[in-house]
Amino acid sequence: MWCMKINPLIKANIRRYLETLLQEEKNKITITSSHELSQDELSTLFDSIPMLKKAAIEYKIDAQTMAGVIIKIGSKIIDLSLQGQLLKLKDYMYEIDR
Amino acid sequence: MEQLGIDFKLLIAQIINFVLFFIIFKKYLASPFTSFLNKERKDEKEREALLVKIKKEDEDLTVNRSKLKDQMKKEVDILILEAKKTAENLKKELIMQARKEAEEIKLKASKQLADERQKLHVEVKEKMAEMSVLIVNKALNEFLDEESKKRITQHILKNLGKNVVYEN
Repeated sequence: MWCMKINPLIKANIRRYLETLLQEEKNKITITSSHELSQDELSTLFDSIPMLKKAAIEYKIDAQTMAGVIIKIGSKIIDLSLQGQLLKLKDYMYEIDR
Repeated sequence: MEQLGIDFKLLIAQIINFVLFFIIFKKYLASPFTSFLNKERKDEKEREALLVKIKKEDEDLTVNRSKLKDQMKKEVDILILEAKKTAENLKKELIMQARKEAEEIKLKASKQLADERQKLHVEVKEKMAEMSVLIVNKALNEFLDEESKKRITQHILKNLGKNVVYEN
């Protein structure tokens, strides 16, 4: 089997770079909503989820959410949208059939 | 006697001649011929006796043959009857086995049918659920204006602690 030999220094640099990217991604927070959130709404949100206060947040507008918000923290998603509720309803209807 | 023309010497010679001839004839001709005739007669008798014996044996053989034929016919009839019974039994067994297999196939088919029906039932329900959610989705998209969406968002955020969070 042919193996590519990489310079250990380059390898270490690449690893460091990827770890930095991963850390950035982990710390990234995205809030998606159907409309622009007002200060009251944001403060209610921050009060309920304190970790949102410390991080940098990216705001997105997506009409698919219909109403409510979707909060993405790293790889975790907190779905508070109407769309999410409908999906939950669909799953629930599947479950009661079985 | 000489006046009659009879010669005694000749007569005696002829008598002696005759006697000698008789003796020789009897010893060398008559006896063998007689014994030959007797032997022939004896052989003839033996042959007749043999013929009678053979005829008798032939008759006995004919009688035995007919008896044997009758016996064989009876045995053949018995064998045929047994064979018929065996064939009947075999036929019944085969019919029973075929019926049993048919029942099994029927049972399997009905079970399969029930399974298929159940599967179809579940599929239809799933489709119905999907369609219902899709319809609600479309209806909400059309029905909800910006104000309603904002009100719903505010309501959700207000009740954040009570909601079940959906995590991916």
